[in-house]
Amino acid sequence: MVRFILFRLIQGIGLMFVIAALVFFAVFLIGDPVELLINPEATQQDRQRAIERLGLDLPLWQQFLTYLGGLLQGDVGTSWVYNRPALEVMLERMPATLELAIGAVLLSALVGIPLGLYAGYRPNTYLSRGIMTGSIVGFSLPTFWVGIVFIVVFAVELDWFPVIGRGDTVEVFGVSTSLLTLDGLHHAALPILTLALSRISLVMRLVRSGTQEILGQDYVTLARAKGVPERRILWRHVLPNLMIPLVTVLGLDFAGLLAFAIVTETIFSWPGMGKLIIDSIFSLDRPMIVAYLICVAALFVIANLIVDVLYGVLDPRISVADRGRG
Amino acid sequence: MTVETDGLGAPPAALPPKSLWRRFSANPVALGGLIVFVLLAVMAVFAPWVTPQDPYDLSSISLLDNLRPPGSTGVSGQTFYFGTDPNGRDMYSAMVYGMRTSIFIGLTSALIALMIGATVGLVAAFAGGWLDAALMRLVELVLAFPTILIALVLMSIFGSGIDKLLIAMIMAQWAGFARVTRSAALVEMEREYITATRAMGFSRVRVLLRHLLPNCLPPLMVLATIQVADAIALEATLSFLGLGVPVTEPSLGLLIASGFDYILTERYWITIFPGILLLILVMSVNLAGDHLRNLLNPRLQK
Repeated sequence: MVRFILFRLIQGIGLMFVIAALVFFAVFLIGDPVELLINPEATQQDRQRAIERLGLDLPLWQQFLTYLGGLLQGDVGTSWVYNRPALEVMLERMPATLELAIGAVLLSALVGIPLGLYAGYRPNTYLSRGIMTGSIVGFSLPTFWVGIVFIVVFAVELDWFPVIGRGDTVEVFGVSTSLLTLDGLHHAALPILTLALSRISLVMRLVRSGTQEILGQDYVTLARAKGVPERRILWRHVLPNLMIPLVTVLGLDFAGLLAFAIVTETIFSWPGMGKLIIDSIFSLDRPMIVAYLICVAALFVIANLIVDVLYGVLDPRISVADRGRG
Repeated sequence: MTVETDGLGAPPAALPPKSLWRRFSANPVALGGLIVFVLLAVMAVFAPWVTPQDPYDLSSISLLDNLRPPGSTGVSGQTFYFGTDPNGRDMYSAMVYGMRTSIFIGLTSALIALMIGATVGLVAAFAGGWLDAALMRLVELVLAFPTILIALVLMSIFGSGIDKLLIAMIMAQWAGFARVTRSAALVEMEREYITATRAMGFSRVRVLLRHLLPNCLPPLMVLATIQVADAIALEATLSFLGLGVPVTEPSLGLLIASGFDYILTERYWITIFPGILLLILVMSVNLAGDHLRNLLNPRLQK
């Protein structure tokens, strides 16, 4: 187990190295690095000083090494807007984004699994057909528009939910969260629902097709022949076998959730990483963009690792240690 | 809907197009989706003839008409059935012109991504070895990141413009096509007819283009349909965020964004109408694509 986790960690670090290199070449090779990295309002003298300070007069390979060296120490440059290390500012915003993403994953599982089980178990009822057509509507709806409609309906017309910010937060182990206060939950409800809507459709469709496939298996026929109640077949035989593909899709799609959090956060003025990256793109705060990409890559690697470990927990046939050797 | 399989339970070979079309059109929802999309596309192509004004020709709009509610009458006596936007544009005209951009960008980016992806996938499957490994690592890297994030970051580097938007979207979309083509091609290459073409001494290019590619098309068609829908939604999202189509061009995403500033004052029509149109557009493609996937997926044909 430990060996396997180490193996995946090394793989993950390899992936992060590749991403860091890509980011370097994107920022340094496409376009003029001086223009990209130095505040356009700087004077000629400041420019010259900044070029020397940033080492932009050095050969490219040397710049790349400096960049990687900084990265290893958790330094991807200083944000021009905040005048603080970009990574530090980004990390401060991370809890706000993570609570949206995790909330959306939980909500999509809670709503999507029962609906998908039903649609797969009774595929020909009107309700099932409705669920399936509804799921197409669900993933056709662009996230930003869902957010706007929610604001119009639930915040403006009905006035049930606030529209802006995170509300009250509490510190848990040094991480601030709004999911543990009533006011915070009140603020988080609409953004989480917005983010979760397309995932709910995804989970529903996945569970439905999985259910149909599993119900045709011999062991289900055997269970039925033995007189096992249908409810027990669904919860004990079908659902556990669905968990592997479900965890895979939800885990691997975590990066997608972070990306759509950009949209959700922009609409609901939610102070997370997504709002920050959009603001940074518009203020041309390049170190911030680099910091964002590194953070997303790290979260992606961690999500993958969690998925791999969960495989072993969910399916006793899979020995995680074996996979590491393979 | 049953399909005959041979006694071995192998998936049926690619179906002749006529039979596919007959089975596709048997589903009213899917057929409805396709018809709606074709109608909207025709409207978009003939936009100047089906709209009362060219909303991006400054001489035809008047700022005095700005923010008028649906059904109101403008300064020159025309009726704005869907209201007007903050610049005094007729919402209906602006929506049709915006949809024109959406469909153009959606179809173009998905098609070019399909061509690039199919080429990469075929080459990888056919060449094998280190080239295959290298191309597939690249594909995996691109696929690890959501298309919207790739397109967003590329747009922040490129700057705005329709040409740059197309490039960014193609760079974000090609990898999916490459992976699907490669796996389809690998399956096909195991079949006897490919061995036969080799035995007959056909050139590699001929085998690739005349024999391998046509047999890889069914899964590519499904993916292409879904990608068109995704691309339309992606373009609107990027434009909404201000990183897509430049503000001087028509776009549904930009219209929705311009209305977003007004929703708290109950001027809902600027955001809601283009949003509904966008939803109908994306859904029509998805409904057709969903059924196409059911038809072409051998695992579901029981």
